[in-house]
Amino acid sequence: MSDITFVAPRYGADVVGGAELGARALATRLSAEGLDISVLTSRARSFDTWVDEFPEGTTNEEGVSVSRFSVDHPRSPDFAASCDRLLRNPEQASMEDARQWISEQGPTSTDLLDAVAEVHSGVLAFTPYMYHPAVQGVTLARVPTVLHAAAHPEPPLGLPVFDGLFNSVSALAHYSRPEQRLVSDRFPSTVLTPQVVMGLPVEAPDFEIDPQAARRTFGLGDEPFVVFLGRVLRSKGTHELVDFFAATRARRGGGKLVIVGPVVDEVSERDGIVCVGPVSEEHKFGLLAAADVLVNPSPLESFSLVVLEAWLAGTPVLVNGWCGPTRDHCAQSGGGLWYSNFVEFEVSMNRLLDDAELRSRLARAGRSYVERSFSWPAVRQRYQSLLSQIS
Amino acid sequence: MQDDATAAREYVSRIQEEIQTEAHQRRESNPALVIQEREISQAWTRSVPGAAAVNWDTDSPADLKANAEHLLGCVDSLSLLDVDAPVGSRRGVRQVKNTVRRLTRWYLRYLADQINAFNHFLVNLLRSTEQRIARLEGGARAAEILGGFVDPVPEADAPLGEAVADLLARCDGPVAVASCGGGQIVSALVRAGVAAHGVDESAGVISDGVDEGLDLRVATPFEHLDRIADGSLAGVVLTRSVERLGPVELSTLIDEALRCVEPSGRIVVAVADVLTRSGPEAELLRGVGLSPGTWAHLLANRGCVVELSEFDGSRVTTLVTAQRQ
Repeated sequence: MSDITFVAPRYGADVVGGAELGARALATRLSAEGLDISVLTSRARSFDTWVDEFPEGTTNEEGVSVSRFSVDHPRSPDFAASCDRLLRNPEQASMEDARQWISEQGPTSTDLLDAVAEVHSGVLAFTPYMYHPAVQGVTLARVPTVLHAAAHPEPPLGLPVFDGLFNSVSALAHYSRPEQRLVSDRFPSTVLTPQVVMGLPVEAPDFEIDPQAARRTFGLGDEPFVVFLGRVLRSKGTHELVDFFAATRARRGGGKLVIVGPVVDEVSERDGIVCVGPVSEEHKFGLLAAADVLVNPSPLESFSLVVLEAWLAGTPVLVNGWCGPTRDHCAQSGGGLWYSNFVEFEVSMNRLLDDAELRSRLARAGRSYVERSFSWPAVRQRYQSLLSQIS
Repeated sequence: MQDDATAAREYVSRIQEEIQTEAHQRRESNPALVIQEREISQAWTRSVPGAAAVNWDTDSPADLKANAEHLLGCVDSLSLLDVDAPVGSRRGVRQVKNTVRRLTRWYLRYLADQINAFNHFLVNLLRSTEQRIARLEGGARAAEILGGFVDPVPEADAPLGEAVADLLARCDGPVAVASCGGGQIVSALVRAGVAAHGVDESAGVISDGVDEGLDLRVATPFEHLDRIADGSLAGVVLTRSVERLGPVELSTLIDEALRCVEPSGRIVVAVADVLTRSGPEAELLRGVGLSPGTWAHLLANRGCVVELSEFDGSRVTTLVTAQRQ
């Protein structure tokens, strides 16, 4: 019987996604400390289709017992169209429509839900809030539950189907204070639910960071550059970053933006913009260390690992000021700047690129913040403190 | 380490102010930049969900003011309607769209001019309303402004935390600590086995407590209590910046706290005695805060059984405990 059973729509070393990475970071570290940790998840690797890809059954992965279940049906190709209609005005959606949406959103797996109902000891930890296993699973739970919601200010959060989930969990583990505030505003009755702003463990890699090797590999020479790291996705602000950077570059008369990560929405070719695609962890940290600035233009983040990893690599950050969690990281750490419009972006970028002392001071403050607040012992203490209130 | 963190926060805050000032000056001096910014911002706004346009960090009057000004700036820049719809880059389609645009331009321009004129006056009206509200707030916040000239209320120390925890140790339900600071009282309550959480207006002040795993949140006592259903708390602790509230706010706070506690719930007030103030503090904070005796009087008047207990602290020397009947 497990001490903690995580329930996630997808799980695995090669599964990309913030909440999924968060669940794995917690599960593996807790397991390494001797706790009995299990994961109940689907066989899917892609959240676009939920097609079964991993083998069915239970395996041991990095010390964690991972049980994968087939989905009842893959996601309908028409899902995006039905989303558009419903999410234009989510607060007005009927409960029936919202339930239908969560079923279509998936991954719907009767076997997975049966396994949730069979958990008789420990704690069930659901993540993230937006998928079928959390919404339905929490209604079947027989043990205390904690929700790692990973909530953003996004349209689905307004659907009435999530009231039951947030109001019935035993505890809430937030990634950031803005997320806590968002949840508290949207679901006022969670005000008395035990909760903690836990974040995620972020630690320096166990290999030596080699910026020169990364520069050589991607042909970046000795030129200074700005880096973006993450999925290249319109909703993550990547295209706006390209527009902002191109306009800034035209006025500065030079500069380079290196875009690192899988390309979902194509970016048009521009001078000074280099797309290198997905890279290894070694090159990721190498590029972070070699860059003058990391920019995270996303307006929708619940934590943003990459901002904290940039600080560990000794690089300051510039973030989208409309994004509460990344802005909060910068304001609380003193490790980065934020912009709310193009002119602020340009002024901030120019200051960062032209002032080595500013960059160094911000990076030092950021690193100190990560080490102080997001080391594994610090995060574990917060999680234990929360779990002790419900178990 | 805490001093370094505070210094880093203040440094970034100063740099951000400089950036905003420079951005403002650049917009003022370069009208072409405003047009370019508007075009880029419109493209950006299309992919940013409306819900993301929330300012999370409005935890001080200065922030609120800056936020209002920022939003007014956004309204100003977005209120200008442009009839030059983009025509795209595909050759045939572009020509058709260009023709449609030319044909409809005279009519759309006529409408857009009227709407732009209306928007222009509307934005000016909002600005003038904002200025009038600021003037009113200035008057209403006199006590708060004067309070800015004296030292902030210090953190509760460990003995005070223990003393409050002793008074609430038998609570069998959640306890909220209003104006919790770094969380000394919450921490003592949790050690005593009480399900306690705290709220404070300042994100910076609660950071250390949050890092230690305490349930501390950014909110004013009013905001927080307002969200709690009637009779849901076993206890409420009123402390720290409660000392700096005026009579109307204090009266509201007492009513809210009494509404939130269960029938036999307790309210503990742990504040310094206003009668012991001296020097600039006594003059600048006149009319702000209450002595323990007056707290006891107000709570008893609202039907509570009140006890005063001596406490050997450097600032707080009497604790007021009120039990709802």
